[in-house]
Amino acid sequence: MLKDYPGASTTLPDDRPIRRRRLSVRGAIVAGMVVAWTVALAGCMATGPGRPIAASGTGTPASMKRGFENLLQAVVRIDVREMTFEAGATRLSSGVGSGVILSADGLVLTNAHVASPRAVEISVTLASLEQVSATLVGWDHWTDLALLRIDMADARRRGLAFSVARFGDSEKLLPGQTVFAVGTPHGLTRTVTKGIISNTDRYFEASDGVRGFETGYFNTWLQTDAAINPGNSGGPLVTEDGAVVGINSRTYLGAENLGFAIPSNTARLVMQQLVEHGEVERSYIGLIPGALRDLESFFELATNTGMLVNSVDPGSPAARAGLRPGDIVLAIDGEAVDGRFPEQLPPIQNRIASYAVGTRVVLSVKRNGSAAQDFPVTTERLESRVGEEWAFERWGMSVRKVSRAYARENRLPAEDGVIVIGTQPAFPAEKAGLSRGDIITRIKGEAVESLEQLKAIYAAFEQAPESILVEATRNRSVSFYVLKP
Amino acid sequence: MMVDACSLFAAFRRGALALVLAACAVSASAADLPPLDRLFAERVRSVVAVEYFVETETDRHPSTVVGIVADAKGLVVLLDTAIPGWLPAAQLKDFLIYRPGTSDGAPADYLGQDHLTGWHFLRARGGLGEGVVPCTSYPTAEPVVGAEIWGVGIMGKDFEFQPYLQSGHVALVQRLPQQIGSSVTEIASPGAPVFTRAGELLGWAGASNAQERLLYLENERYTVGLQNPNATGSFILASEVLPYLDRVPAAPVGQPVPWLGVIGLQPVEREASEFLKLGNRSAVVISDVIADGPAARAGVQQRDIIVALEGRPLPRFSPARVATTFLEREILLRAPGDTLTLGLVRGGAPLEVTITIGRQPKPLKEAERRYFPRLGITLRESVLYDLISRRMEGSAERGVVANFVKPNTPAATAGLRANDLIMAIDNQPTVDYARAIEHMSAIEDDALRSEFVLLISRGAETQVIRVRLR
Repeated sequence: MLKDYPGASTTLPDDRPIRRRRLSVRGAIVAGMVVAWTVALAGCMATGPGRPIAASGTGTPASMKRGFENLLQAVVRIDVREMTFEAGATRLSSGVGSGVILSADGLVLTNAHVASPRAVEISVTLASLEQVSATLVGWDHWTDLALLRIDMADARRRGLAFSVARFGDSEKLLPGQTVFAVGTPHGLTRTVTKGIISNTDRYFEASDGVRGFETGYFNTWLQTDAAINPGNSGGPLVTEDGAVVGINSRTYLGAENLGFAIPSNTARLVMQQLVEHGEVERSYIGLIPGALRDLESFFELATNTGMLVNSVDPGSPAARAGLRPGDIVLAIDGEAVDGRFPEQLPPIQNRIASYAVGTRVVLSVKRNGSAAQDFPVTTERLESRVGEEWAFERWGMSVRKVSRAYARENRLPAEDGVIVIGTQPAFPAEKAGLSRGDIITRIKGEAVESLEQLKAIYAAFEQAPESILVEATRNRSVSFYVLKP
Repeated sequence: MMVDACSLFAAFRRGALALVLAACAVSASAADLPPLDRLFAERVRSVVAVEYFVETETDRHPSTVVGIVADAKGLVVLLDTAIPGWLPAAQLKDFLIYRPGTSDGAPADYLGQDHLTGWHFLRARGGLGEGVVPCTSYPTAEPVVGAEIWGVGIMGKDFEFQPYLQSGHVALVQRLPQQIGSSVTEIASPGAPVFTRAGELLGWAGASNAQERLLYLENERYTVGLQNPNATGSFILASEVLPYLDRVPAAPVGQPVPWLGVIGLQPVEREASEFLKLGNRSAVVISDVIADGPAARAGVQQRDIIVALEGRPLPRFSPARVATTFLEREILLRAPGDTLTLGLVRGGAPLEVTITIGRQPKPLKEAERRYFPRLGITLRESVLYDLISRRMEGSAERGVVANFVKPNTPAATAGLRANDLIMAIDNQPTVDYARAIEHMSAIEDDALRSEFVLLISRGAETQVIRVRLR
């Protein structure tokens, strides 16, 4: 099972003071060792904060060493406190991850599963061991990346120094090439582990890979045997000269040294989008591709031609355009596609996703041995199946909005409603009989179309508590519940 | 259902038996009652053990259950839980009926399951001989709380289905909506009869229920449900059993079952009733209506709330969900073609509809199916249930169901899983079962074939899979 590593202690923080303390003690020991090192590096740091040190890349051993030392000064530990809603109430949980500073104005790249929009407090520990707070610029669970910005005003005021790492070219990596993972495994700040690139093009996607959110549809992953443990998440995978070629994010639980990183060429583009727009907007047409591997003769195709359509989301642009499962997409806007192997699918998906939302894209499609036929499809905005979450504390109930993707996935008749994701014992929702998985479709006689509507009803309840009738469905059964103050 | 009794269990049971007998000896004081040992020996003649096998594509599983003798010609009735309801009759094999304390079984034919009671009916091919006595031949009694009662327990096959006596007292009688009596102690094997101390038939022991227990392991506390599958304390009253013992199905399959074409009958709890302006009435909501079904044709709509049946208010039950069972039973008591008048509330306003009851579409267990041994796949026709559970009943595509996929066969390796809906075989849409079977037979019989390609539907997604044969 490929698991993401949210950090040393994602969900247990508040009730686990002992463990937390032990981590910080360990941190102090490490600090003692690192301080001397930092001093030794002072020469390198002379350029001061915010000035990236020009690394000469593949130059002499001396320049390589300089590049690597520079990188070490750009790796940070990230402590996140965030809201969770699953308990039927808003709770705080905290976790530890890693990150890498990639701009002089304090942009830190990390994993989406380390820092998400649920974060309420993000603290960055620089290589100098100084802590500074940071804010989330944006996240992109599809590639498991998030971008933070260090509170630069505070950093300047306190004269905090750090260096800026630079991206390398992940396309140029070769299997067997030496790489290093730098991060905070199990809270052990600034741990460097060494390994090689095990595979440059690992295919992995999961519909719930990043805290229930989809991931891996648009990129393949670097695989490395450099030790990656919980807390390494978001830290850089670097070459010997310190160039960031990946962002470490996953590992196989129970396996040894099977680690996975987002390639820097993906990370660089995502980071740019997050800087400019605070999000990565992608196009969606509703095709789920499958690898054609060995099906060419069945579909009467030349080898390395076309992409198999495994599934078409009901009601999606592709469905409306008339595409069907079993179709073969030969070309997208005239450009041939080759989806023979699973590893080739994410780039094709990414190509579709890269169109501006609302673009008319022409798919050239072969069906049942017939000649190719053009299907124009107008893209929609890609949405996650995970809708917005909220907790209504006095009801003891947390909910998630039914998203368009969720409704399609579950063949719901409409996108109305919120899914109950948690209830608190002995609170009104639980006492009424609501439980996790119920979909609330109507409340006080109104169809539930948005979370805001529910929040307004809740606000009125807080002002003047009264009994409220709720209609919910489970599987295909409708039940009525009464929320009582 | 009885499992093979291990000797440890049996030893425990014999110990318990001795204690029970001792207790009985003390309490049976009324001089005019026949001795319990004599009653027990007589009444045991109405009890049988039944052994049968469930045959699947690759295995046979034995089962042993307890039943009652219903007539002098070898008719035996089993509880609905004695045989899993989803199993096709064709997979039930080699029924043998054993008299308690004997080791020679009489071969029997499976006559089918009654849709109202859920009971299964068997008949011994050559009868059961002189020694058996039908349950119908005893005087009956209504339970009185506190009265001493007893029933028959049956041990496992290795103990030659030895009968033993269990006893207790009537603790409670409930209407759920059938009348169910309960004893705090276990009084019979599920499927065996229960008697009063005087030997009158009191009822028929039902399936055993799990009892909530707290389990302490080291410092952890767990809530567990413990169930003794071989003994129960609850029984259906004789007055709810005897009138239905003649509901022998005419054939194991193809019986007409009354049907309204509604999905998700759910009780409306009392508090919600007030909000829905139903007052203090007992009510059941119709979650959804099958398009073109009997209810839909009569104008019933989803979210209609049923408050009356044939002009009479729905009776109130505790718990409220019993109202749903009551309603379902009322439907099943009728026949296709009969009418049923429901009092509904729609959007707060009352209305009345009269539905002509339809015939239930083919149930899952009666769906056609065929096993292809070389491919290791069983194809089954898709029935309404398959489509409802996938929210596909409105769709034109029905597909066929991969009912079984043998592990480690090419199809399994290619990713086909049991319960996948096969939408196309070699690009040919599986519009009907017969054509799909024809196509699959051609593949099965073609030893030279190297591959076939399926389009399957799982969840809301489809997938093209290639099965490599050579």
